[in-house]
Amino acid sequence: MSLLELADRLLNRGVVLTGEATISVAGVDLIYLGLNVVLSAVENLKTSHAAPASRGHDG
Amino acid sequence: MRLLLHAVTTADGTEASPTGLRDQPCVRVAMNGLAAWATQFSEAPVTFGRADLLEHHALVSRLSADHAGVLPARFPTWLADAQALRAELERRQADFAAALERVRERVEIAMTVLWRSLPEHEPPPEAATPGRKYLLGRQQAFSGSDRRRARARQLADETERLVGDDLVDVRHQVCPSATVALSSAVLVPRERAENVKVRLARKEPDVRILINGPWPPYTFADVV
Repeated sequence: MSLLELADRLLNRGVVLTGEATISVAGVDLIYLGLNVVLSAVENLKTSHAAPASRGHDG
Repeated sequence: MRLLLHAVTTADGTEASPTGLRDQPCVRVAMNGLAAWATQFSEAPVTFGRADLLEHHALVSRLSADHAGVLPARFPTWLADAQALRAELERRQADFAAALERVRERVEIAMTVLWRSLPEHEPPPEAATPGRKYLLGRQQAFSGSDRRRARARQLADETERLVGDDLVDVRHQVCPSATVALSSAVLVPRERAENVKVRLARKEPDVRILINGPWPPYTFADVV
């Protein structure tokens, strides 16, 4: 879930400039994506290894 | 040449550029108290993958640690060259300065709340006619959905109460999917982040609460 949560933020939020937008990550269009779509899209990015970035804690 | 933007920061902190994505050079363009950081590619990669996302995140996290304020860029954001980036900084200078002030010395805590079970499948209601049975079934489904939404809102309220005086800003997504009850981004002072995480991590009988971060303020960099 940590990688999915992170990917949602990286792909879906943040500063938008009027630069030339690239609209594909792993072959998935990114013009506009809701959380559910992002969660599906990043399935392509998942591997069997845990993400080295921040890890979630089960509270 | 193409530039892949990582973030806009305050112009304090180090001016030394880290290594960019895929070992490409990272350039810094500074103007009027702002600095923009971007990887310089001789030509744009056709596709990005998981490793690129994580590398971008690591780079933005480092910039966040080194500067008072950081506005992460939506990934991937391309600009033609340094001149185009400078022009954007100049054109949006007031917006960026205001947004940087909002996130100055603040970080994002991500909270995802997952249902422990899927929605209950109650037996369909009995009714004299097929039409009435269908309507009663829909009513039953909606009332279950309403119960879940109410519970998710209760969890959102509880989150804000637990963060208390450390809460700077918060964004909730209530029931964004069948398995997720609540997805929240909480903006807190950097020095209070670990304390807030401890307070938010708790056990509930019907949901699992996952806490991530502290991250750069991705959700609160909404300069469009």
